[in-house]
Amino acid sequence: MMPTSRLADQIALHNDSREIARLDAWYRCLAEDWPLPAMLVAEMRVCLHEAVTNIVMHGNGCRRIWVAATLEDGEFALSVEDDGPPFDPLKISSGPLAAPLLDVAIGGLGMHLIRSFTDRLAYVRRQERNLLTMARTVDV
Amino acid sequence: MQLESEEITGEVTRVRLTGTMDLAGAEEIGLRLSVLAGSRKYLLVDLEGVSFLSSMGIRGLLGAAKTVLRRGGKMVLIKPNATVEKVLTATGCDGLMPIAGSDEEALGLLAPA
Repeated sequence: MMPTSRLADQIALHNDSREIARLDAWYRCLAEDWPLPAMLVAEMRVCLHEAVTNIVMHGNGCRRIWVAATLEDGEFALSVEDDGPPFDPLKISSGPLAAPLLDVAIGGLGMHLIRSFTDRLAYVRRQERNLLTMARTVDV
Repeated sequence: MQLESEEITGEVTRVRLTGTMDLAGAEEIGLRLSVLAGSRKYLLVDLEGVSFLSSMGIRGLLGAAKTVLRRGGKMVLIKPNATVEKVLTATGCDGLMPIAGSDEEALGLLAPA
């Protein structure tokens, strides 16, 4: 019986917009090494940016952000954890832009992209931290 | 993130964006794109050099498209890569900012309906 392989990596960030470049470099390096389809990598990169950017822009009181990536049992998951006040991003209503251009309200697009590009989303508040998990099934 | 612009005709300006259009990238080109949108009637925004687009980048593009439209003009996006195009379609942006595969197609889309 073949052993179940598991890949995992993580990075810790300060709550600072300048850290997003370091996060992006970490993710692209990881994606080069892991057996993942290019389009999945690109779409999950969008999700990662959206989740972390949301914390950086709106996470008042948050000092640190931890991101973990796993590839296990045919699922690629990105977990984004922060020590800010309780905030469940899954409560953000979102959808594609539908109004005429001049009337369109630009909000919730990040969450809409995360919902569009993932198969599984979960939020939990634990140990004084917010934990958002974004996962995508990997076709073998 | 880089922004280069060239006037094609008196009313049409071509804007070439290059780089990662995330939070930092959108901030880097935001002011220049806004100024162009506020002073030109028609904008062709070439996205071929944009490797990544997030919602922050979309905000900048939509803001420019709104500004141009308010002045009676139009903005067309050109040649996004597959991922960037998927972001644009997933968010419904393709219904607000036409996407063209070439300059010629984009110029055709600028013509009044």
